[in-house]
Amino acid sequence: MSNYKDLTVLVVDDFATMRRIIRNILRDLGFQKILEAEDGTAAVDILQTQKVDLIISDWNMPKMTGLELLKWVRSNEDTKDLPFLMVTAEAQKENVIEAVKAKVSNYIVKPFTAQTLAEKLEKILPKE
Amino acid sequence: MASSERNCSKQELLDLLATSVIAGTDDLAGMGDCLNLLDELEKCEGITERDRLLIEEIRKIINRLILEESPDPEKDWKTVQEKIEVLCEGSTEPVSSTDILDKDVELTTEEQEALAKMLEEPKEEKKEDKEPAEIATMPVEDPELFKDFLDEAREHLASIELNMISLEENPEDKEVINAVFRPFHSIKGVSGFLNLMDIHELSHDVENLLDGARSGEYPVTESIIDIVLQAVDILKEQLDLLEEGLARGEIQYKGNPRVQKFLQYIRNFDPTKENPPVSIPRVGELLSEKGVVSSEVLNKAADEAKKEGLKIGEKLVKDGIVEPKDVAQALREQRKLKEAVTSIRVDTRKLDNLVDMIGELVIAQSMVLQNPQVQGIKDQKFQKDIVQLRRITGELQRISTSLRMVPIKSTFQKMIRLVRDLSKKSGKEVVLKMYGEETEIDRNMVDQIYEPLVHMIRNSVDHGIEFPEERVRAGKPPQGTIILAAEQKSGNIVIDIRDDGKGLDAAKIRQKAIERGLISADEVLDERAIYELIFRPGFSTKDQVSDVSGRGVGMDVVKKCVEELRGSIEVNSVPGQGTHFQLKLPLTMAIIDGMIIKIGDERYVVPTIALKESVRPSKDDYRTVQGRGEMINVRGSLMPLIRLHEFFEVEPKYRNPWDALLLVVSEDGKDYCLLADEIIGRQEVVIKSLGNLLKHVVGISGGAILGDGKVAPIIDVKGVVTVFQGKKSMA
Repeated sequence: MSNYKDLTVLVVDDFATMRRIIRNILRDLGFQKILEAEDGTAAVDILQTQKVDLIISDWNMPKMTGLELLKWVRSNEDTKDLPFLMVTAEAQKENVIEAVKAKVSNYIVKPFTAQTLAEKLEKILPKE
Repeated sequence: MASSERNCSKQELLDLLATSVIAGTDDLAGMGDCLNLLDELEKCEGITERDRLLIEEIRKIINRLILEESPDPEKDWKTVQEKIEVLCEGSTEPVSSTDILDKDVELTTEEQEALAKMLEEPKEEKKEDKEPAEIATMPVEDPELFKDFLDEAREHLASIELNMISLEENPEDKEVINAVFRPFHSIKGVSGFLNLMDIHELSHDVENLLDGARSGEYPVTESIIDIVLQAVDILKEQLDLLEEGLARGEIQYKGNPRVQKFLQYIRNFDPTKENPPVSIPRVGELLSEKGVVSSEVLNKAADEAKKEGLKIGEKLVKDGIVEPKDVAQALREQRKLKEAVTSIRVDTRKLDNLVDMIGELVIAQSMVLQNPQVQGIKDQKFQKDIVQLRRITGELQRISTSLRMVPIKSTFQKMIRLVRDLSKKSGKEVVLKMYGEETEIDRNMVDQIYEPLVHMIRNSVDHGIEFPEERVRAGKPPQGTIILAAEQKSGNIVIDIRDDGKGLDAAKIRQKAIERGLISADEVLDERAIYELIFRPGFSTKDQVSDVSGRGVGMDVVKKCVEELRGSIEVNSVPGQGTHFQLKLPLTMAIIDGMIIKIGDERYVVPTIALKESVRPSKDDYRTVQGRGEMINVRGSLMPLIRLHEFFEVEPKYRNPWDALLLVVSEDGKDYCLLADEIIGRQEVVIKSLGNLLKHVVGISGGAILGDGKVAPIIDVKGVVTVFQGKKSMA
């Protein structure tokens, strides 16, 4: 899975431990450039200044939710085609429909394994 | 994109839909486009009922494809394509065959079975593929991760507790619910990864409970708040356990009995069957509650008012059903209730500090203004500015005092229950009537008057109110009445407790007092002084200690409590008609209304609440009575003279009572005259503790900082009288 190592991924979650868990999984998968944001607004700040190849975002966050971030990403010329993976909880799965309508690339239900994440990424990352 | 083209006609949308492609069972982008088009289409004109049904079906199937809940994704995917075709064709040439429409709406039996199987055992399935499998790939071996989780989870739990307070005050505020919901959500998420099943399930259940409240399914009730707070406590315990476990290197992640028990409780809890939180009553409700208008009239008027576009209050006044002043009062009450709802909680220590500092500010202001050099300034503008400054600081002081005031209502309401219990136990019929519940009192005092009130009410039921038969014989209604009333009167809170019982029996009290050695058999006392005897330590008129009345606690304790609050208590009684206790309390503990007196060069403050009057006696009013010392005749009654200058050992200006000024004070039902040189003025003074060294000096209860910045002792009248009595009895 060495093809992940050149990709910059942005992990958005208000819970630092969760970011750390996702980061660990991403490391296991071979990612090396991992950025973190604690909510949607912080993510927007990063997206406006840095090149990102993939966004993995939680749904439920203060200030700016994952859905709002997704809408921002899709409406912004520079980011509108970015692969966007929404992290959701089993109980809030219906949210996914909203996210799909807002053109989320895919979603993943917590808790997930490295394998599940890899499968999802396989689906949403542009093929070489 | 279709969704951005707002003005699409039905035909254009259908064309777009016909050409849209869902590339496969996992083409979320295609499905998303399709859903958006369907949403648009539904809003278009010219959509038939049949179209709508089709749209709904397509939507349902796409949704289950997205959620990966489809029993047969490939088949569903094909069905969607077919149905979209039908939808598109159907509008150009009406659908003739209902077969196509109905096809696959219902799942085939096989599909139903497959789905049922899936729904039946979702838990087991999940556990199987997530629990043990995941630990292997999860970095659970990483203790740092757990430590991070501990810190962050604790932080979040603390934020929940803070937010719960605002949630209690604004149970409908979605933002606040969300702020409480989110931490549970996050904790649930992470604990799921870390395989901490107890924490995961607990936060999951609470999250669900809050989710329902968030989406408006049911209101946030007190029970929900209780559950959430309890969950926070249990989660904290679990985190502590986790921390201990980490230290040992062995984590207990599942099956904690406390968590399991609580989970069961939450799962059996039905939030929809809860009472809604207290809401602000409508004006009409307030009016009918007060009996100004009956509910039938009110309902009728409300309907009519709606039609006429009037507010209920306007309508009722217009029809002459109620007086404008009643409506105005109801509105005012409503506003008060609203204000109460939008209040915030503040640490009382902060409040006390603020009040203290404002007190200092007022004093500092007087010091500046009384500085001779400042007083010498003749500038008119300066004088005007001073007036303005005084006005502002005065207002500030008034507001700061009011900040600590709370309505006495909550204390009063506890008495309802008390009276009910007491009358049940004693077999007497008693009703409690309350007035002036909205009267505000210093919050520090509110708790402290509870005990005395309970005791006096017990006394009234126990010793005052008669049994029904006895009452009827006396020509009274069988039901006794106790009135509890509070009002603010000339800088004091006055609380009245009246009953319509048999009244105090002066002869019996007197006899008892003699038995107990409180008075000598030949002592002459007027009726009031006899009544006051009940406040003496160790006095009880009831022959038997009753089951409900306080054992071993007499009215002396009540008096002591009240005096600790710098208040006073009086009793009045009419035999056969009832007893009346009156409690006078200062508005606040921090400031007293004081009379500043001068003895020699020293100034003292006498609490105004202790003073009955001040008199300038003539020479004839002064006499020395054998065995009783110096006495002053005030309008026919003889009162002992207490020379304050002797008590405080200062050199007075006047030694003759007829040159000086006498302050009449009352203690234990007896009046005394305090000899002072003159009264300088009356002033509200901020009470300062004298510190530990001077705390136990008899006759002085504290210090007050006067306008010129100097400290004047506040005289403790009770202490002075007690010392005087002691000396007299020794002499």
